[in-house]
Amino acid sequence: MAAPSSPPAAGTAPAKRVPRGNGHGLLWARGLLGLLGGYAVAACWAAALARLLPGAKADATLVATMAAFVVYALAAIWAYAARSTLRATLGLLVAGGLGALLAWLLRGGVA
Amino acid sequence: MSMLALLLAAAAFACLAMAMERHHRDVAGHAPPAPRRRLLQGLGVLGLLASLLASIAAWGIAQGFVGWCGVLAAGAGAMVLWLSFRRPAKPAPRPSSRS
Amino acid sequence: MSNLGGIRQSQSVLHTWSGLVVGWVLFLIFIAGTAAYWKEELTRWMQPEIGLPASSATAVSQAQQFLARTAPDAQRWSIELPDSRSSATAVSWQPQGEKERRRGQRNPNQATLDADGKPVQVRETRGGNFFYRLHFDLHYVPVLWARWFISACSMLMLIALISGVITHKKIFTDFFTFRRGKGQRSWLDGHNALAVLSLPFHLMITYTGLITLMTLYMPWAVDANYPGGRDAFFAELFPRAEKVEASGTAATPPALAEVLRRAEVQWGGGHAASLQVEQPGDAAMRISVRRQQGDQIAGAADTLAFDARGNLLDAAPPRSAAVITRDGMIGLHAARFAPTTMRWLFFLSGVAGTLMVATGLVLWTVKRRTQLPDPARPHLGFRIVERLNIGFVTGLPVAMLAFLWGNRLLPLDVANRSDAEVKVFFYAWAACVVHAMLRAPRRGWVEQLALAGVLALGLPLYNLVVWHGGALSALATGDGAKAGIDIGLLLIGAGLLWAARKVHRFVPAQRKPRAARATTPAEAGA
Repeated sequence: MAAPSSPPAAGTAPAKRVPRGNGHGLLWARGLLGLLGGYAVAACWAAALARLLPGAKADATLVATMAAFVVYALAAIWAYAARSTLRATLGLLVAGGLGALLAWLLRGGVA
Repeated sequence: MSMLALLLAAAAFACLAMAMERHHRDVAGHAPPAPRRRLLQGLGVLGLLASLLASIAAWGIAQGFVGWCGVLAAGAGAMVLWLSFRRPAKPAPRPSSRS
Repeated sequence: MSNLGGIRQSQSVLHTWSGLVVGWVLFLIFIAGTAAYWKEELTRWMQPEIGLPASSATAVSQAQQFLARTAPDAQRWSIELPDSRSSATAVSWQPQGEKERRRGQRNPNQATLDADGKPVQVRETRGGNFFYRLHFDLHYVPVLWARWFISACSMLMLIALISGVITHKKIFTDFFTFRRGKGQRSWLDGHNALAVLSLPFHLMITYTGLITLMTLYMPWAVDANYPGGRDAFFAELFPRAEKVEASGTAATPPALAEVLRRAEVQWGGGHAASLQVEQPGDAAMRISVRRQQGDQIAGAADTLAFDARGNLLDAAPPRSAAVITRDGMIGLHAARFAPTTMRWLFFLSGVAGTLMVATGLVLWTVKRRTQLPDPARPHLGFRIVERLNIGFVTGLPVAMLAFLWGNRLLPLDVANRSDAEVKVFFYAWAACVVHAMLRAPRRGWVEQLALAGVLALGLPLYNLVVWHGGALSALATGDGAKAGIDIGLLLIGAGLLWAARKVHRFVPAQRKPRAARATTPAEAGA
């Protein structure tokens, strides 16, 4: 996907400022990061919230699962909005790691 | 009662659209003066609230809010179509020998 | 270096890619799901042998008489009551010693009763349930795979919606804007209008759709709290009543209409959807009355149990807030609670969603075409996308209408008739895809739109001629469901023919090839 170097014709969208030569690989990287990385983060937080939330076990499980999709969406958006692919990856690792850590720390409370 | 909610929403969106410079210009030929803008915006908001009350009257409280979202979509959609189809679209230019 | 440029820019890229990759599947989900809002009415329309149903109390008495005559010693009786939207009383029974039938297996021990309580031969059909199941179970693939796939696509839809909102710079300024006749600008305006005006619906339907499949797709919370296995979780949520063992003392069931009335009183004016009687010939029998899901937004399978004398057994404990929330989300998605006007609003929002996906797919090709080095000769990938758009966006409506025609025209005694109707759907769809691949795109669009329009208009006319007056007689007898479907088909058919005409007359704006716009030929097409 080459960067158009001419001014856009009237009526078309403004030219995308995608760095030359980086186009497709970049998109696939971010895309996979968002899709798979986002899912991993959501999964970690589903487990963490399930153990963290008060109330009956079944209820906490339900709420945690419902909240996990919001986490997924936010993580995927972050994967694209982050200023660089490195930042995106680090952000997801930290978020996912935090969730996994919480889940592991709270594991004793499970019958 | 649900019909009333729909009509109120459509009327409210008509006011809100007219309060916008672009659409007022389309319909009346000039930008709306400031007092008229405020009036239209106020009427629009009141109309939306009234349509919410009509929805609740029609369907109960919980279902009223749900139905209101549909009422808003229908009312706004009607306004978009009205504003768009008020004047015929500019015909596409005749193709030259080139294409 | 690996910057995607600004947050709006990055979200624009995310939006385009997440949308296109699964756009075709999402179109299928939306069009089938939107049709499923009328699934009971469609089923009624697809079984024209039956007229309006009887009231619940009458129906249950008739069903009881029929079952007492036909299967007094059965292990279990099941009675599905008709309601304002479905047409008939469906009874089935399980003889003593027989095992539980798996879903999808044919059950010979069943009957359909009309308003007079007499068994009636209705044509075998999946009815509107075909579209309902299609939109989350797909077809011809294992159900679990289909639901996984659909969940993944729905997740991408959610991301596409959110990133679309972030990237839409002038969401308030452009709220009412729809400029016609301006090519790509018009497609974008249309796509935006369809998305923004029903945005609460689109966000709700996507998120709640994920919730309906959540334990499959996001089981980690369950696994975290129930290390012994997921069955423990489901047992806690949906406690299963124990099987009733026959005591040996004979008894006859009480008047089920009276049991029904007691149940409805217990629910404070609720309505029953179905009844089951276990061991109806025995004193230990249990009568379970299940509530209609359409009674509340958070409608769930609320069940009351009665004993052989019609006395209420202990009711289940009230639902927790978390369960009510989840049931509420599923209820919002399925909209079973919605009365007719609100159902029309849900349906219109669903149509908007379907058209939003369709315009998004078309917009992609329109925009890409302007970036092609030579718009007159696009590369293979672009040509395939362009033609698959036709195969889905017009092919699916053709297939759905062919399904309805199959319902009318297939002979009543065809073996596996409901499967045959489904085959008609898939053959028609395949034919449309092949047609789209072979024809030039513009002709493909026009021909399929016109075909769909003719198919849609033809159905009410056929009903008029063959079914003694179609919509007119339905209106005369007060059968809103059948009349509504016919009228809806007329409107849809008219709309499709109008669209076909518009595409037929469309003259594309003159487009300069990219070479003329670049500053030097060397930079163009690099």
